Amino acid sequence: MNQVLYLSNIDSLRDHIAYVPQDNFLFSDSIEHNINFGLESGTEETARMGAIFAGVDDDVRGFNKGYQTVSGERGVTLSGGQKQRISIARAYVKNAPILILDDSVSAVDTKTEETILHNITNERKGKTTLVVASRIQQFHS
Amino acid sequence: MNDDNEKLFGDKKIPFKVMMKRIGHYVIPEWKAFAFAFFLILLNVGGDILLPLIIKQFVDSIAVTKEAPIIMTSLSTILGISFGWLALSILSQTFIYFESMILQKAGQRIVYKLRMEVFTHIENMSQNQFNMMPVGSLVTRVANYTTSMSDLFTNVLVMLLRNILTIIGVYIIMFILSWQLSLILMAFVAVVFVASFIFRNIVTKLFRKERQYTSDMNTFLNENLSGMKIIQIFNQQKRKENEFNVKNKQLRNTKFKVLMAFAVYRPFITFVYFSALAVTFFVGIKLNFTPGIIVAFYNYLNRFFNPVQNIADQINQIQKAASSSERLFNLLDVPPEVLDKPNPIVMDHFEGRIEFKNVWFAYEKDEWILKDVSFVIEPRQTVAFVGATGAGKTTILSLIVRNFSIQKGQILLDGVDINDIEIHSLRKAVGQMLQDVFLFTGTIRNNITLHDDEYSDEEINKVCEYVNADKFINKLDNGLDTEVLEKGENFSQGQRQLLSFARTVLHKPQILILDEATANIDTETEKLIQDSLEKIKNIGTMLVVAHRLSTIQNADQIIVLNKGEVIEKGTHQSLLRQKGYYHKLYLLQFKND
Ligand SMILES: Nc1ncnc2c1ncn2[C@@H]1O[C@H](COP(=O)(O)OP(=O)(O)OP(=O)(O)O)[C@@H](O)[C@H]1O
Ligand SMILES: [Mg+2]
Repeated sequence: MNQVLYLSNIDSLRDHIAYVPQDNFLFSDSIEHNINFGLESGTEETARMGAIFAGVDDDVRGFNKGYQTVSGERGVTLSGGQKQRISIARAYVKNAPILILDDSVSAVDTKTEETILHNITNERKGKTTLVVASRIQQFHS
Repeated sequence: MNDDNEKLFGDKKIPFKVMMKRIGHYVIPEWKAFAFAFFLILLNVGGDILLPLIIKQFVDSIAVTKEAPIIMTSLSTILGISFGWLALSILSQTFIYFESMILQKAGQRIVYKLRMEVFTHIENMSQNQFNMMPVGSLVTRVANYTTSMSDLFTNVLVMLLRNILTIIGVYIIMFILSWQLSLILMAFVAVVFVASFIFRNIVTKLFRKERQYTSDMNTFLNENLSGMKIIQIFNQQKRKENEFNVKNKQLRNTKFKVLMAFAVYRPFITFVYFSALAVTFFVGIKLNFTPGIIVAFYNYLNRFFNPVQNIADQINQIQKAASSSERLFNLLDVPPEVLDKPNPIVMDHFEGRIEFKNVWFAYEKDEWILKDVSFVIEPRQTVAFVGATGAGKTTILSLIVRNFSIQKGQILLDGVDINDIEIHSLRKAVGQMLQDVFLFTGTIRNNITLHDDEYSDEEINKVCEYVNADKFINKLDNGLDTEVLEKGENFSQGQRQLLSFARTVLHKPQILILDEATANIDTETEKLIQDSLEKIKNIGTMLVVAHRLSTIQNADQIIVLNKGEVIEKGTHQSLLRQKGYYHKLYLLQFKND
């Protein structure tokens, strides 16, 4: 690891890490573009993949404009949990070798949290995922 | 609603007459200043016009012979002319001094009032309205538009007035001096007017674009500076740079075009001016003018072409100010969606009984978020809202303090419709601890008291201890006086939430709202919080949203929501017996614990 840090500059290091911060900043842009933020070229398909991973696909499709819904400055028009999961989807879509979740499922109900943790174990096999959690219970799964 | 949206974005046209009336509203209180300034301008312009006449007198008093100039008048006359010249100049400049002081001050008073009015107006807009406006564009309105509007009164109108008066005055004198020459010069005036008209048309369009692009850029900057963390984490600096570059280029290119227009227009006018001079000399000699008259014409032409050239500029500024005022008035015209009724009921004490009666609510038309929600919460009860994310829990809580207005049904507090209660007294009685804690820049103390000086340190410390925030505050070198950075960046989420607890409890609410506030706090801190919440519960009615069932088992009532509908109601035990949705949630969580 030391060597990696030594060899890489910050940019290429960041290319290898996807990160879900504690506060979920979204751009006032469509949900599709928000999820595809880390990609060179994303489509509604890639956005949906991320959304399914984060368990927010049903919510988004429930909106009148679906993935084209514009989230408003700082994502004001979404509920706390929806915002958080879109932020998870955004990190997942980047498909980086390392995924860090910093207390990222705190605003999500138990059922959805379950889905996400389940998806992490299944879909990120062979890649590193770091979960920072305030509650011990999250580690059980 | 659509009409209001148009106003929000400032695109609604306001008729000229209405506009004048509204601008008048700001000018009339300052009428004395304006009248006095107007008087001074008259004097100033008068002096300015008379100066060349003195020069004429002087020149004509010198006769030129082959040997040497012979002065035909007495020394005393020459002295008189010189002093007259000096006195008139001093007077004229003194008038300018007073006039600009008076006007600038009046202008500043107007901007001050306008900024205050716009800010207060923005403060009173509902959350819904606020969410539609990008912050960057609001900043532009409060900061820039108010200034450009007041420029109208202080600089533009005055200069325009001065210029018009000068043009008329100068032309009259030229006409008296030689009507033939003045008529010939009319042709040049016509050329200048046509050129100015064309120029104005081009530049108006450019200025409108420039303003649009500036506002775009502010909005872009505001959002992307706030989201810089995300941009860096996702390594998107290049892309954002490109996006910024597009906006930057647009602005630069527009500025280039403006420069270009001026660069052609100004020299052209100067060329016309020089041509007029040439004609003046020619005609002057042909018509046997005295040297004094030729010199006077030379002076007057300068005084004539300068204002003509500036008028086009000023008309532009007037248009700029007009469109700024339009956008400002548009914003001021949006009625706040949530307003006090004419004689609102001021409640200084609430028992804390809350009732939702068949409440329907949608953020956007026909997209119902709450569907026929009904429930009753008795005074001093603790009630928990449970449901999947997006079910409408936060929405319900924000309706109680009237952040939004409901479309159908009724919300009652102590049996009174909340629409009849004075908003201030309503919000004062309800303490909210929200999903995202917002901290202001300032000190911890200011964030807890919200700048209310009536609280002593002792009280603040007591409250901090009560909510268990004292532990981390005491560890800080400066304690309560520790600086809080923008949005509380220098505190952890858990700490921020503890501060918001302290803030709420200090203001002694009768109804408490707790939205997810325990979500980001570690297991140990949560125990402390739980402990203090047990105490807070006794303060009054308490509404809690929490995803963790353990936090809500002790609630007097649990309301289970699904997709905006109440599907179950009851105590923990009774809901478990029902074996419904809540039961399922419980099993899921139980498995994890
Ligand atoms: N300002 C808004 N404009 C438009 N829609 C909104 C707005 N705020 C919330 N919504 C929508 O209303 C629904 C309910 O949101 P709400 O915030 O009440 O959910 P919640 O139950 O608090 O969820 P969570 O547990 O995730 O916080 C969501 O579908 C959300 O997208
Ligand atoms: Mg919520």
